Amino acid sequence: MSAPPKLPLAPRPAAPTMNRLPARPASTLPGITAAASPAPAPPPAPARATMPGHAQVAAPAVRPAPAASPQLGHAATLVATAPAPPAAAPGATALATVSTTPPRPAQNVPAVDVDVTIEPAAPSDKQRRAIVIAAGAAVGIVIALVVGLRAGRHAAPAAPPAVAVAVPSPPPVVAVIAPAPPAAEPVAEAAPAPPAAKPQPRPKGRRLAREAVAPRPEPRQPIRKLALATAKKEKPAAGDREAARAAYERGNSLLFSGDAGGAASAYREAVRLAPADPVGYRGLGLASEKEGKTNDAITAFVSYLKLSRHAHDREVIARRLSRLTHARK
Amino acid sequence: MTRADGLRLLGLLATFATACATAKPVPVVHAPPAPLKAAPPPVRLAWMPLETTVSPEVASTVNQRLAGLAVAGVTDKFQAPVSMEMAQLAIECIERTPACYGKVGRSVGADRLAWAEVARASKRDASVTLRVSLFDVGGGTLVRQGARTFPNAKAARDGAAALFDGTFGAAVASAGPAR
Repeated sequence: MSAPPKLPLAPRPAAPTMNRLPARPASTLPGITAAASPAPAPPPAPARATMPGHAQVAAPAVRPAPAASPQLGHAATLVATAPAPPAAAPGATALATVSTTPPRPAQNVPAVDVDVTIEPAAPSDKQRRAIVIAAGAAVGIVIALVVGLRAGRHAAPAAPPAVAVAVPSPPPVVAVIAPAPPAAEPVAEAAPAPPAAKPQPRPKGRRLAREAVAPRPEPRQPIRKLALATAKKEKPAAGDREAARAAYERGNSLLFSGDAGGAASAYREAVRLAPADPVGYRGLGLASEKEGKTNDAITAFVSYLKLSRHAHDREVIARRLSRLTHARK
Repeated sequence: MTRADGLRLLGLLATFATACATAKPVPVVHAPPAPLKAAPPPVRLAWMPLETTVSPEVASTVNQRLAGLAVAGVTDKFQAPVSMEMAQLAIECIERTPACYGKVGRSVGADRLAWAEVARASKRDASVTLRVSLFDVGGGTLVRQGARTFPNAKAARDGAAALFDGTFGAAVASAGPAR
């Protein structure tokens, strides 16, 4: 496509133009208002500006519209200036050229008829470079957004802001489980508490506020409860667990063969090896009951119920314990 | 037929006859004498006592009936050292399923298990349900089971015999002194 020749600036008679509009109120004409003709535009025509009493002004850069942009590839009729549509970036050059003329005083421009054929100017090398850079940046931003969204989706929910508070730790109480006395609950002995730490200086300002929301140290618990809790938390070694299980199975064999005393000894061994495992207490209770040692059986069953909060046979043991308690009375 | 043809035919016949005469005879295999019929393996019945803490008066009667239970095909009978509930607790299989009963049977070394259970309705309700069972450990099936609810423990004690007879019927006879 070849660029149409520029029109010379020649006086033109005030012949009626195609898009001549009546004069508008001056207040509606801050500059030049643009109105694109909705009908299919005629083939590219040279732009002209018609002003009554003035010479016609040709549009500065009139170039053929690229075939790929049909919206801008045909002539448009500009009646007045308007902000260029965002999609008309290539053609904005010509439009900007027109609109950059300083607006005349309203009283001096009773009517403005501008017929401008806008044809997008071919982007120069700088423009192309800028377009490429902008496109690259946009792609990069999009990729970064997508990656960030995915990472945010897979990431764990953000933890609440950690409040680091230096709380004086309570003196630790060490509970020691005795090595399984015969048919007795785990005996807890409290080790002598270490000397209390030196009182720390009183926190001030923000530190004081943080300390206000910090969890307070738990109140002291009875030693027996602590021992039980420690026994719960303590996990015996794998070897001890296996040995305890073997002792329990040996106790079962002895119990089924009628040797209740031997079974009780084996169950005690299981309790000694794994004091946190409740099955040893259960076996000990059964063997003691079989031996007729009701008190020992009751103690063992109580320990079993304390240690096995979610055992499936808990109800059966509780019923058995109730029967034993009634029988003892 | 010429004379030469006759000689050839004669030669062929002689060859066949020689081959047949030299073939080894098929040995006759005599079946070994059938072994004597093996004696049936012993069938051990373990009756599992009812704990006296459950219901002393009912337990006494029921245990007597269990001890005197005679089951057809059972060659040996003995009292298990533990009750069914205690055995199930020990082996950590407390469900009333054939699988758990089978484990109990293997633990006590029995082929049949006989036991009774007593369940009270509630603390306010004095009614008692008595259930008796016979389990085949090898087959993993409950051979017989019967249950009856009595208004109280005394009635259960009195009606235990009838329950045993009605449950085990002709195949299982309740007789003989307790072993």
